[in-house]
Amino acid sequence: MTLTRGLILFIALLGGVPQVGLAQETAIRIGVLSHRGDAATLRNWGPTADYLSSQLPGYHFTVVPLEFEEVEPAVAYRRVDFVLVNSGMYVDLEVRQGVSRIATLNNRHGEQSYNTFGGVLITRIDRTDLATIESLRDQSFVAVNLHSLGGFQMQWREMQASGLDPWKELAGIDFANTHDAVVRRVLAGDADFGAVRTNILERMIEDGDLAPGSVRVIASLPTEGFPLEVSTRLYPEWPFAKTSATANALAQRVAVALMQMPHDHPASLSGRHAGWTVPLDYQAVHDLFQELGIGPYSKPRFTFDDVISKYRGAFIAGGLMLGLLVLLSGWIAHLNRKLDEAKRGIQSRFELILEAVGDGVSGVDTNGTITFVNPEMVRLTGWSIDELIGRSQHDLLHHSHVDGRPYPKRDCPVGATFRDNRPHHVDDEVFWRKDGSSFPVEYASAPLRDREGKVLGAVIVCRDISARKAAEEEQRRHLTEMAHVSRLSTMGEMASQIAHELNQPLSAITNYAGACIRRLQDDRADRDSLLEAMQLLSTQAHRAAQIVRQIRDFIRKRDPQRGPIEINALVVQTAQLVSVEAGRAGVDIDLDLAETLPSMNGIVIELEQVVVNLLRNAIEAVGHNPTDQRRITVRSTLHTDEVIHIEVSDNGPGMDPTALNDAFTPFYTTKRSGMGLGLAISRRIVEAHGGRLWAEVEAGGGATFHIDLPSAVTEARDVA
Amino acid sequence: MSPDQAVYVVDDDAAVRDSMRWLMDSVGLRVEAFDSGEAFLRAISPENSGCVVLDLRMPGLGGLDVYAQLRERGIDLPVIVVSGHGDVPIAVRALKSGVADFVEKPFKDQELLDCVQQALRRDAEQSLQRLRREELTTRYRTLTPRELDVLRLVVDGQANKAIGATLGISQKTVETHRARVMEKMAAGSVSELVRMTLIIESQG
Repeated sequence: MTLTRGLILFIALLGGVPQVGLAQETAIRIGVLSHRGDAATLRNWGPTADYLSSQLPGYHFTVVPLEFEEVEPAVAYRRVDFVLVNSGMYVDLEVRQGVSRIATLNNRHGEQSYNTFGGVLITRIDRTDLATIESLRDQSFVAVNLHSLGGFQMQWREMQASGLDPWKELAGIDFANTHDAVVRRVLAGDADFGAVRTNILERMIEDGDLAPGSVRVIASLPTEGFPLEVSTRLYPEWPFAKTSATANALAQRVAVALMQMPHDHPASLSGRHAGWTVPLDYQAVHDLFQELGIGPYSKPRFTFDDVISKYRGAFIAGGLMLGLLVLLSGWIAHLNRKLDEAKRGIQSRFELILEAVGDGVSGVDTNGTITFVNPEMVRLTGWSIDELIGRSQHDLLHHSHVDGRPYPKRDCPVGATFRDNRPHHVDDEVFWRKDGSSFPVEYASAPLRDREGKVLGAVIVCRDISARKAAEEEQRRHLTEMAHVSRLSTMGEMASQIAHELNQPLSAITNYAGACIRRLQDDRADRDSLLEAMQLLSTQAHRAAQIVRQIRDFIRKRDPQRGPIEINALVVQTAQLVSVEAGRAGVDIDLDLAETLPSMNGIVIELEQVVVNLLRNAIEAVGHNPTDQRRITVRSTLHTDEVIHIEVSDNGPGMDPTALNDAFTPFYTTKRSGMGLGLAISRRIVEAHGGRLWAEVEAGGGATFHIDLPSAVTEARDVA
Repeated sequence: MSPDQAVYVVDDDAAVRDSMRWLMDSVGLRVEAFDSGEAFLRAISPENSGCVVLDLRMPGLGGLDVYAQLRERGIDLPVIVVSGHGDVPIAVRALKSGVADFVEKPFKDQELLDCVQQALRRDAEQSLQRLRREELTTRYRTLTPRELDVLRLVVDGQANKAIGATLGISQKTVETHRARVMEKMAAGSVSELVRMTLIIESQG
């Protein structure tokens, strides 16, 4: 998607929405099962919320401790966006509320990390009579909660599997609600045995809440690779889950942030876990629920038959009333939820698009004051949201040109946007970062209007184009280098011509000087003839110097400068450079130049090189003709005031039309000498000047090479 | 140099031609300059004497083409080929084909002048030899067929008796013819007569 189209989309989105306070951070709530008490929950999981806030700019994550019974309503009424609950509750919520796991906890025991856990049956150390599940019959049982997976349900499954129905064959079941309370009541002798999840005893001992050797594990199972004592099968650790209302894009970012959390991150350490891993398969938990017929798989556990028959009338009346109430409140809740969903939907869609876009987006009012920015804009500029909102965009980001010259606000294209009420696109300016550095930027600025069409300000969509600029620079530098090598190579091929050309004036100089010396030696020197000889000699010295200068001009400069170029002058000069070669080959070069041509901008020696290449190819081509039929024409014309056209045509044998394109590939050559780079480089040079180079075969033999180049007029128009 | 000798300079470069004229003039040599091989070949004839300074690389007829045409036309003026850098193989070929000398540009003026002087001397010698040969040939042509027969056998080193037997004439008759040959050819001895015959036969 182009920047401009992206911008149009934004305008469309913004159209119906009044100024939205994007500057405020969005609050994201993580509901965490508080199985060891709220204080422990906040202490253990608060740092994880902080970590997520730091990883996802624009969001503020908080931990909401939830009792077992509070979890489902919190999810159902959208009081939380994410939940971190035990695996059993998760499976329940997955089925009933459509939550989805995005990561599984890696627990930690000492240096070891593991992502499964189990349940432990414990008793006081002195109760040696309790060793097997069978021995628990008729004993009193304290567990954490009916919904606690590791603190009740796992143990229930194992007892049932051993043929012991805890509901019927124990002295009683009591729920203490936290693991720590279960341990305390077992220690106090309030219950004969208790159920807690793995790693609770170890942590209590570590925290000094439990004396080592004061409790014993009942029915301990050997479990390979699991570092703790356990009485049940193992189940996947707690998952981090998103609710159905939470956007997938946000969830993905949270998941990535969690996975990227280092195992030794402070948030992991305080949670006593070892970071997060990809979400595990929770089928083992489903199996447990199915086996016990609880959770999502619950069946009516007892019948109301007796009750119904006894209080039939009252029951029916109450039932009807209750049904009506339920219907009404259900309807209200449904309406509420719909409204809530709609509102959140609009807001989150809008925010998510702003976040998802890889371009910086900001809005300014008609004073140029920033009213909103997206996270990418924050990333690009280094300024925080608070530092950006309410400040003048131009003064903050756009105050100077790249060379440090001040950029007056009246020249700013963003300001122009709401003056002329049309979009502006710029790709040759810089934005300034908080740290004082700048980056090349491409941006589009479009007017932001309200429904009546009144201009409220402008939206700016920008991207950092440093990489693109650097690539362009590198490409240009490479071409310059290649062109230089090619010029040296051309010069090498022309070396003997050049030497010959230099030899002529040098021989003449030697002769004139010798003549003068001999006349002086022989006293036959008359002043006038000596003077004449010296003048002739001097002329030849200048001629030699001129040749040297031409060569130097042709090969000099690894870093040539751009400047205005007169094409006709360039053609004349290059024709002169190859005139010796042409003369030797008996070739006439005709120049047919346009009377007036606009100048163009470019690198003169590179374009000279192109014309030299074409002329030398033509000289070689016509070499196949009889001596008196070797003709080359260079023509310059002007098309529509904007395109300068140069043609180099010869009356040689022409080219095989199929070879026309090959001729432009590097290292293609039909000559014995030379690198075969001439045409390839010529084409790249012309293209780097915004032009075109192509060849045509003439019907009556001969080839014509065409060059189109943009005149300075064209460039000026493009810039305007 | 003899007064009718000239240095024929053939070069397409006007400055080179003009400066050659100056240089040759400074040592009293006469220069005739031509801007192309074609123009030179039109002007030159076997009667001319002197030497040719010929540029190897010229548009149109190159130096070696000009040289070949000269020899074809029986013009044996000594030829000095002036070549540019990198033309050594061509120059070697030129020397093998009989070119008198070869100067590489850029040359020292003295070097060129030395070559020219040497060529002119050679031309003068060749002129003398040419004159002598012409004189001998004239005399030779006055011999009768029978005298020519006797001459060949004398030069072959045969005695009068053997010559008489070969030609079927008397020894005395042989002696008479032999005396006439010596007289007509103005030869003082048999060995001189042998040398004269070699000179005549060396022609063409």
